[in-house]
Amino acid sequence: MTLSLALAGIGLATTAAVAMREHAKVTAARRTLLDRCADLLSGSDITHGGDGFPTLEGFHDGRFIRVELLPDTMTIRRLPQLWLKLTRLEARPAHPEFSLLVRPSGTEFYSLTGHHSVILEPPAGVTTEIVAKGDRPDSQHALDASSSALRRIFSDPRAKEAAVTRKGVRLIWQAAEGHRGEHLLFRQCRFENAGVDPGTLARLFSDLDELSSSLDERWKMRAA
Amino acid sequence: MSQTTAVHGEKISLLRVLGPGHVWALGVGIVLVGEYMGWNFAVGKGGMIAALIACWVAGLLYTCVAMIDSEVTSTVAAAGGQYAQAKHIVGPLMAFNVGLYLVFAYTMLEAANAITLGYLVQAVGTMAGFSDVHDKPFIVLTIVFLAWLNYRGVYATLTVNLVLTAIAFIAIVILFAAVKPWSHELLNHKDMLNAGLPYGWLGVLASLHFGLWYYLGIEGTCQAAEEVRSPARSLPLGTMTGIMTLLIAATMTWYVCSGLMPWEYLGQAVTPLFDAARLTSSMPLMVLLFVGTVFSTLASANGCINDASRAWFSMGRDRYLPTWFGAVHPKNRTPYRSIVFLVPVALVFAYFAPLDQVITFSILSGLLGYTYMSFNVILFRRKWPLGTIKRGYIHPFHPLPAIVLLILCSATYFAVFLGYGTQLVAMLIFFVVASLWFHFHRYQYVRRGDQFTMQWPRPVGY
Repeated sequence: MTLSLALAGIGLATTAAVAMREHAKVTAARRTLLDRCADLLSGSDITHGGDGFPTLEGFHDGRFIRVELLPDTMTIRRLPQLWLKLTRLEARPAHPEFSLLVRPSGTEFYSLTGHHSVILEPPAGVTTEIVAKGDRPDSQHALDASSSALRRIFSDPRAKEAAVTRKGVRLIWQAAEGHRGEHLLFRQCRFENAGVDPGTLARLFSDLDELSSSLDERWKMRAA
Repeated sequence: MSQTTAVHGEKISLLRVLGPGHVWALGVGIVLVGEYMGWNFAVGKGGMIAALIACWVAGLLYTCVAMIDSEVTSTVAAAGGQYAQAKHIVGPLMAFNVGLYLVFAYTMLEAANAITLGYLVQAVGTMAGFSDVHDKPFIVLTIVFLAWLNYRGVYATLTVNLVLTAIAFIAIVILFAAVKPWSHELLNHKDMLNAGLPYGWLGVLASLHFGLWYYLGIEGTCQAAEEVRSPARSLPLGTMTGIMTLLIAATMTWYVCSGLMPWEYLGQAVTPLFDAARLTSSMPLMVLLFVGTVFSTLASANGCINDASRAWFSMGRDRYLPTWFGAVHPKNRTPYRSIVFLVPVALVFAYFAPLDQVITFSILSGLLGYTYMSFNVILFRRKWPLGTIKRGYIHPFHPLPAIVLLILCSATYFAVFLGYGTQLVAMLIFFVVASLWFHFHRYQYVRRGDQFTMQWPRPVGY
């Protein structure tokens, strides 16, 4: 009996040790996902959440930008997703808000589209599986004015959401998809090759620039 | 592989590399726990031969399920399986019911896993000389620990269990080889054949109830539609070979257990494979099957908590339930309120109900879902005939699989009624009352415009 208990104890201890080592390895791998992108922002600062995923903050063309990695495991029968959330703060106090969400399933907890109630017409030429919403009827005019920028954003199949609010503009982009094996058998959230390429992030910044410029141009035209 | 874009879901394929082999392996992995417990109650209903027939007939039922689900899933973009399908094809009341089927099937399976684990610890504890070991604390501990793990979400990583699940699969194969199935040294099938069908053909029908347990959940492989290289080929091939493998594995499990144990004992055993290992008197085999049972039940229970809470969460987000359940934990990014809410539900069933009844509730919930699928695919083909929308896979011989599925589901309802009529009636009353509550009260809160996220053409006849 003593031998059985000893073997069981050794087995448990070994399993726990392997699990802890795996956990530390996965967490450590997450921490470096945005490291290569730090040079794109001036005054950049990278912080890490308890789950190991990083947040990069800094300034791009004088505007404050926050880049976050957001794991999403909220729907059943779908692999976990890793979303890249880009938020650029630029106040437009009286501007109508709008947002577009691709392939909505109702579980997008990170999305701003759920906060808007007026259904809008998406721009022509973007994917058909998209929902556009605003906070008031004239959001449609603002959306139409930005249709060129939106078409470019959503020509990338990884784009998930574009949103314009009075506080700023936001893009959600798919950074990675979880491993099927780990997810199916133990519902684990494991991403490989999830590191964000600086070139890609720079392109997303330019998408944000274009969207922001389209809003400013419309504002100027209305003022004139 | 190329960075092609799948049309459906969030499957922008970084890793669009799955072939039929992957679909097969994962499908078998999900359903593995069914080999370790539950299936043997079919033996109690109609004897050894009846259980084997039930296992094969259930294989036919799941073949229909896989064919139908492959087509609908490869077309309905929004992930979420049958729940999302019901929203788009039938309507909110059906979606509400399908959501409840999912929650109950998973929660009851979670309770069944916890009961098995508790029993196993008690049995091993008694063997090791701890005769006072009680299973109840371990049942509670299992559910609470796994709920905590799920509550922590991405903070917790336990990928080591991928290896352990593989060990659980290998353990069955080793057990089969170790009992020397080609000889009569350990196995005694003579008694089994003499017993024949103790309850006649009615017993065979009654066995169909637990025959489903061998495969419950295999249809989950159909959700891989967006990641496989060639969905039209890989999906049916992977799923069908998965079902065939399970059929062979189930037959092997049946062969070993029926050769080692009298049917009267096997028909009510909690851990049949572990008991089979005990009867071989081999300590390494016992340890292997103990580990296999522990990890297959743990992995299964963990997946169940995850899926049940997300189904409950989705219903909260869609306002089918109070929106309070649709909250996400700000740090852990998990549906924490749904996870916590379902813990006492699982505990009540695991603590107070016997294993066979808990399994019956899980099977019934699954069965209701399969019945819905037979109607669903007929409605789907009628509202959106072939050619009107893009389908990733078109199942052959329509409507034959739907009709066969419906007949087999009806037979299984009768089988459940034969042994568990009270549970069947209680569950149906529950779903009727819940549907009335939804129709007359809750539906007013549902944002109907937000339900339909597919850009499909107007259905025929509307």
